[in-house]
Amino acid sequence: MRRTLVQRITRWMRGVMLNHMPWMITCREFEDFILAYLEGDLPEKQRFVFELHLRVCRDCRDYLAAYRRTIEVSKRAFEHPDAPVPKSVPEDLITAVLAARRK
Amino acid sequence: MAGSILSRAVGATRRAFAGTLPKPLDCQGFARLLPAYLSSGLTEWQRLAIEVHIKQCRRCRQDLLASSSGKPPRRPFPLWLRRLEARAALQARRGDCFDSPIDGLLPAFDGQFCRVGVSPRSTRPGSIGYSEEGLRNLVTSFAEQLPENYRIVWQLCDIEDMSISEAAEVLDLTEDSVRLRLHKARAALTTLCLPLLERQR
Repeated sequence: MRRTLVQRITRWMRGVMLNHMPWMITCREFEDFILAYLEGDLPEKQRFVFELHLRVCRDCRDYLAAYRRTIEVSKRAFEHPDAPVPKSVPEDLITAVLAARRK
Repeated sequence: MAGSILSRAVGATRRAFAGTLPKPLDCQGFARLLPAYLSSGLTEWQRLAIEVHIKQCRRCRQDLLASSSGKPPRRPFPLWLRRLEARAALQARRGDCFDSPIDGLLPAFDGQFCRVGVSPRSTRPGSIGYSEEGLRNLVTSFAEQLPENYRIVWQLCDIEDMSISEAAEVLDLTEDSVRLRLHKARAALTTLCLPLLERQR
């Protein structure tokens, strides 16, 4: 009970800090930049703000690690070139992919 | 199939005319051209651009009405107020989008936009105790739970190793749409994979 209260107070203080301090973004704003960060598309200033949030927020650090791990796991699951195509892929999409590869 | 052909035709037409159509007008450009518009001193393209902008922007429409009736135009919005207005519009728009089937799988946030519901144990490095086939079946079963338009983007980018621009070309979407769908699909898969990642301790 006491621990939960401490956690709630800590979370509230962190929320206030992320919402009001300069150079801070909220976890929701952080979520919008994840893909660009992983692709290396963020400009230097935005990357600094992103990484600052990453240092402050443990939940986002864990989430980003899980996000990276999911990409890695899904790539590893299908890394074998002979792996069967899932049944749910529409036929015309396969045709379009093959046509794009021929270019 | 018919929808796909139609959307491809629309995309091709848009690309063909992209070089010839004038750029869309913003509010500053509208304010600059407004006096000339009122005195009928514009080219046909400029007049068309103004009329298109008036249809889209309520404030500029009000400005035009006020100017043509002799009232003084509104004072320009300060930048910080415009940002607040944009943020409120964005939040309202996000609030409207909750009925998408993938939203139940996306990360949750509390009232202060802080992340909730990530297990710290779920991210330790190490091997997952599954064979490749077992892992593939699991990931496929997770992917089956995604809506088709998100799943296809994920398959092209993460499984087929296509770049975002290639996937956008194949699906006839903009790169921003592909980015958004890819991120949402990955986020939903992360939510679904969290119990699987916990096994790797």
